[in-house]
Amino acid sequence: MNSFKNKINSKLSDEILYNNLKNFAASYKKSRSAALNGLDFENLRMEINNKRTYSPEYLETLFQRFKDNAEKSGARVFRARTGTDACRYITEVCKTHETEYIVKSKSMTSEEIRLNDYLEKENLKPVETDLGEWILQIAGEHPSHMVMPAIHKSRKQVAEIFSRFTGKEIDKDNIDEMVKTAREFLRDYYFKARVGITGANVAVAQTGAIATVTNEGNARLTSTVPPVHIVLLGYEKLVEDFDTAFDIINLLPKSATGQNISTYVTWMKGCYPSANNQTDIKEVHYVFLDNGRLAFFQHPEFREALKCIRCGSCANICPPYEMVGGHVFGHIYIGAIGLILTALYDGEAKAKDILKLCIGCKACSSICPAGIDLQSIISKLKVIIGEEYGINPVKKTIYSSVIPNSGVFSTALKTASYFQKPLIAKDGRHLKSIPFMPKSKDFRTLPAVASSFFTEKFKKNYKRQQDFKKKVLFYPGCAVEYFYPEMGESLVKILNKAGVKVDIPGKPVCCGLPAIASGDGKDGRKTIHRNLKQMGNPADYDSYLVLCPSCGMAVKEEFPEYTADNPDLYKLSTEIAQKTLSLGMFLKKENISLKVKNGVKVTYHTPCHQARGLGSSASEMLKEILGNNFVELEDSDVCCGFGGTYSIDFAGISSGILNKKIENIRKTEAEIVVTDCPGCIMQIEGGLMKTGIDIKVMHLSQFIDEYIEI
Amino acid sequence: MPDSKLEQFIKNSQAVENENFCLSKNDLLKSLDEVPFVHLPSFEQYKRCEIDKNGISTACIEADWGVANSGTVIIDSSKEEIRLASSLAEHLQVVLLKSKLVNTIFDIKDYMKNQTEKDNAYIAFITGASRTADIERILTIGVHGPVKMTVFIIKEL
Repeated sequence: MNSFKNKINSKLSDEILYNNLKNFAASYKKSRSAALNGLDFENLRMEINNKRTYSPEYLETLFQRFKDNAEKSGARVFRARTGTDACRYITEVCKTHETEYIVKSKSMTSEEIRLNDYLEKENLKPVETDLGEWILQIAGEHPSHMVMPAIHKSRKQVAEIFSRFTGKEIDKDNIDEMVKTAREFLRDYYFKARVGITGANVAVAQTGAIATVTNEGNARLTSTVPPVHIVLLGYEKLVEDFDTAFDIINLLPKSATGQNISTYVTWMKGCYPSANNQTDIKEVHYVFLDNGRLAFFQHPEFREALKCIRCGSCANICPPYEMVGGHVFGHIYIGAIGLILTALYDGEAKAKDILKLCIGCKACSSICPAGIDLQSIISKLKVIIGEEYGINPVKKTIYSSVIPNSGVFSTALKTASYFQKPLIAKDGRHLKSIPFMPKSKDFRTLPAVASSFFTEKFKKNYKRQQDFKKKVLFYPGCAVEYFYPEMGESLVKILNKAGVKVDIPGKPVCCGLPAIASGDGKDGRKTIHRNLKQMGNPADYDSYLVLCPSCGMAVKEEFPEYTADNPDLYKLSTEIAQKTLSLGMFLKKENISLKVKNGVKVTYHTPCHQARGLGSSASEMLKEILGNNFVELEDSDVCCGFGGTYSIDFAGISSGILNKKIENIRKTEAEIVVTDCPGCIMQIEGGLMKTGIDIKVMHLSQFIDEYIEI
Repeated sequence: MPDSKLEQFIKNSQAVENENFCLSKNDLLKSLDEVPFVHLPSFEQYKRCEIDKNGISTACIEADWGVANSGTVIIDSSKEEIRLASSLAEHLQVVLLKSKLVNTIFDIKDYMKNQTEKDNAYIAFITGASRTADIERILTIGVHGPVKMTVFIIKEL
């Protein structure tokens, strides 16, 4: 774990990496949305996803059809059970043809099985022909991105690598010259090699054709000049027909680089003419790799990961990836899909540390063109691996004995509220300093534990509400209960004004998400079951309300999932889930009219789980109420870096993500940042206070309570 | 909008830095003098030359289809010399009959099926000159293949 932390820290201080990834993320978002303009992305990705749901039997049928078509036209098809089987077969072909050099074109799968290492041990010389991959090959490194392999390198570093390799002085600023140098060198290898190896983006069972997608044109030369062509591909590349193949070819470049279509999409079938081969026709081999894939096709969730089309968009929009890059965030395969595939192909031991790097913001799930719910699979893997390797013992104690047990939790925090008194800042609501907090983790001013908790306050002040016709149950969640009771009070006041009665659960209990996100599924389940017993009868309530979208998401997603084996609780949890809304969503649903009291300049940060858990954002509503006084926040729905305990476990990544958020907030020149999540408030307000920036951060409930007439 | 497909094709072809010209058959034939490799079945024009690792200056090849919504040309490259010429020419000229324009790649599904049902096939979708952005995301043209691409659109035979 320590070497892992060191690796993270070295990446966090790599300025070139930071700037390259930050700039790429910004331009990528723009070009992607331009490329997708006018297309129904949600519909297209659902279609791709549905068409590629294969049962193991159907996958075998597809494979046999491909194989028959390929063999009928003279190609050979080999089934490699393991990476070593594939390496061995490929080596044999190369040795048969007595080739010294082998040209390779874009095959992540060959990285997966460490083909180059194997070939080199056999005294063969594989040459990567993709410019980025070749740069890394001669530098002795691995790709850090699926489609931009050398994104972590600056032009200066590339010039140095080339100078070292070629012995020529290369102008450190002249990228054109560098590309020309590579072109000359690589051109030679195409003609020296007797074997070319490519991957495949799709393999069409209907006719036995494959496609490779490149911008450089290297796959064309790799598959044309040498007399032998080996195609290395995983079974998941199989599709039934050109319809599905085109669906993928259509979305892949738009998602990968924001291009409408890649420069070269090359379709190959059978053994095409080849003057360099004594027989005048190309010798073609298809190596289908299992390496664990076939077993995963039998798993209802993991088989989803095999629908990946290798576009890299889950890395392009991943805030932690953007901070540390692919050498940390993944292993061979990078980004969210990389975390998953590492667990599937390389085993849990390799994956257990890197899985923790996921902050749970769900951006990957919302952008994946193959419609894979990556974040849910990562959560699931964390739970599986948590059971296997255990989770941090301190966390385990908290999740198992403290959190599900509201009495213990309240007492612990009550005690804390007494002990923190000497640490409280002048405003009475934050901590001046935190003893024993290492400097590296101390990037925020943290809130103090409230002197009296929400449930106590509610019982004291709001026991007697008018008997309005409309009734909701408000689920406070830990943050409101122990740190921000005033947010809950604002909600009750607003709703009473709007003629709505508010009930709360008998005792405050955590929603279970923190335990589940840390991989502690067992305690998550316990907590959820305890919650459901005190959330009343859904028939009695118009809605269930949350002020914390993560709690809302837990109610909507985790509650049904963790009660699936108990019919009564499952029925109850799905009924509650259907009625669960954020405050903004409820006000909109009930058509409650809102008018601003006085002019104040406001921006809005959309919490991850508000946007991608509850599927809403209050920015439209605020725009309506405030008109010109509302300023859009750039990257409003990008994570603020909080992620619960993530911000302590990976403080460097968390504060880096937060700094980008603060930079965007400053650009709006707003006086108030409104948001919908107490966790985001803890993070953003904490960061602003620590850096001495005077911008107020408010929950929507507080903002409406203070600035809006109902 | 009688010409919308053509206009769309040219717009998208320009977007990937291609030059595009609408030519008459005669002007096209006149332009072939200097070109070492020619493959234009519709005009019965063929020229061959030695192609080695040093590449050739120009190749002029007819496309089977042009795709309006992406500016893509579809070239049947099953013949090896067409693969080599289109990959190793510094300047790739593509001749496209206006009648061969389709709206999207989905319109040529049947063509792809028929072509790849044959014993062997090699079909290239080409959208612009060879390019990379692997160094600092700066777009650079001509990394392995053509440095320049031109499309000649012929409205009538």
